[in-house]
Amino acid sequence: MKKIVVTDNPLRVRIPRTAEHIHNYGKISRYFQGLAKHQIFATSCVNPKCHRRKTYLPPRADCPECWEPMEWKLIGTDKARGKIATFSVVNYPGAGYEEDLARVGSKLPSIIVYVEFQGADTKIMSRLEGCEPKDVFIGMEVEARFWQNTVPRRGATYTCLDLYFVQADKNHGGEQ
Amino acid sequence: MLIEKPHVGKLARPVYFIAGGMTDFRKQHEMKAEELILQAARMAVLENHLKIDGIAEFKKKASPSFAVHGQFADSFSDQLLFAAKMHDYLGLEPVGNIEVKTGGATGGSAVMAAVMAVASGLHDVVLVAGCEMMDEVSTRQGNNYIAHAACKDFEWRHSRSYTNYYNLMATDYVKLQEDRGFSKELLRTALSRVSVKNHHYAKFNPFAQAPADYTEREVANSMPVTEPLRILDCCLMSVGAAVCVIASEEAAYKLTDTPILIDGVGAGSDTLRTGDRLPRPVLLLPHENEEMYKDFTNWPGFTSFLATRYAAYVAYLMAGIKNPLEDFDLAETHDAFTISALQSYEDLGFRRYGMGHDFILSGDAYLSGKLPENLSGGLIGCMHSVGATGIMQVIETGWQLQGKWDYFHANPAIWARFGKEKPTDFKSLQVPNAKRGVAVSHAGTGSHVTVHTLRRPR
Repeated sequence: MKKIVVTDNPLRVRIPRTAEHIHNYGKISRYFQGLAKHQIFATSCVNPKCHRRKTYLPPRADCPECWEPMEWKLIGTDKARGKIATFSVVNYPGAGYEEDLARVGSKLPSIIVYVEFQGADTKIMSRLEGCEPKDVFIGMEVEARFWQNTVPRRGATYTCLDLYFVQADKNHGGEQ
Repeated sequence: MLIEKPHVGKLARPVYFIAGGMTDFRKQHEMKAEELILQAARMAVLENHLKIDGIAEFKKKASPSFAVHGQFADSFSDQLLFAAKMHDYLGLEPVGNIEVKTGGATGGSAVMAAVMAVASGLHDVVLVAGCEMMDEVSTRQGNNYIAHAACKDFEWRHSRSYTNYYNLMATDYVKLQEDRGFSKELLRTALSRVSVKNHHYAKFNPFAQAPADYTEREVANSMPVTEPLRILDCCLMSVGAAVCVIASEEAAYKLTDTPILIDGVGAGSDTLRTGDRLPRPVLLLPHENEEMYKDFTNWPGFTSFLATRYAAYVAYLMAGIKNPLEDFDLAETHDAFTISALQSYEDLGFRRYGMGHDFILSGDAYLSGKLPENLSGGLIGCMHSVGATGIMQVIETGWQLQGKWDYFHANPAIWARFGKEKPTDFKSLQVPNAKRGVAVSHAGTGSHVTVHTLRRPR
């Protein structure tokens, strides 16, 4: 055995990890409470002195430009219509995604999307259900769905999983 | 926020890169973080022709009075206060140190912190050390950890994978380019060539993790993580360390005959969530004009990186770069994905917006081209041991400008050190008479970017 400290065959040991975090949504809690009631809330800057008054979805509590508190603005409820700004088909996600999908009655392959709404200046990441990966396209009209529309109907998860989209019914105008 | 134009500061005194060292980069390593950092630091001090005899003399004569340590994710190493351990195991106490964490840009930010420390006059010699231990968890778990760098409330749960976050941009980029009349096939070829080139250059880099000669077809047909991004469009998950030494003019010339001036430092940022990026006028680089982008109404959108453009603007103006394609002799960019390479070519002004693909397709990005890019192999061919990446890029750029590429890459002893054999078809990637280079470090989907310009002193 060599005397200098080298390693050709390192010893590796297992360190299991299961720690529960109790995450606080702070001032934007109402957004997730709203999703549970099938409502999509954005936040709007109403400060007349602000140089960039915008409506944010995902919401944030305070305007990043003028640092004043913003106001809640209802963007839509059931079947609220938006448009796909861009998308990605998920085949090989990070650990935990499939378990998350199972909670809301979905599975791989999954499609994640950025959706733009009239009345909001930013875009929100979400998932598209009931659509084959080959059929999704930028500009597709989509409608909001919530936990009561899922197969398990298990109740809200109070996470961003509570909102998802399906392709909009071409024959109906839906709600803005 | 709304800005009139970026603030371009100046370095209060000249700052130099004088030495660099690295371990080899691998998916899994036999050594642990502090051992890897020590190996890289030994190389930096002992193998860069510094005018000192050994580590003890370096500590005594060069008197590094500060250190910057880079580690992106505590979750990978399971070691908080990483800097304390690295610093301790390098025996640098009692001098001060900080730990830098800016995601994928950690290495670049660490170098920037050292540059600021030296330029300000606070310190004459600063050690920059970075490492990432990405081998303690599965790749799937690793992707989940990295995805925690996305917004926890609104985005992390959507796929838990940065490949998909980048692919959201790639999808829109392809659509935008198709609208401009460039075919999907053309873009696929450009993406594939980035990967083929970077894996190929990695063949001549003894430190690199993924040397290979792939065909464009093999890249385009590799495992579809998603579409268009396939497994060979993605960077590596790596373990390894990089260490460099940054010094003032007086200290630099005392320690080496080949100091490299760091003459431009830019840092930029953008919103964490890509979807939150509000349209702005294109920030023009010195060689661009408003006419070029008069139709652009949605910049940066999903297709450009404001942070890169801002950092480049600042660094270029500071260094007096008029046209990056003409003025630089080489570039190390952050090719986390082939798509972000194309995006960055535009943000860095190697091509105008909408023409990023042409930088690779024209041949400009190759050793024989106008601006050889990622001769190290980049993040796709060499490594992405996150905390070390930006430091590696500065080192590779510095070595090229010192004219020492061959010394560090062609030496069979270095290949042997890592249990490798120098390839029989080895070729030199030294850029002849390289005078100026640029190194770009990048985080998130463009939340932080640093740009360093380096040049041989006149």
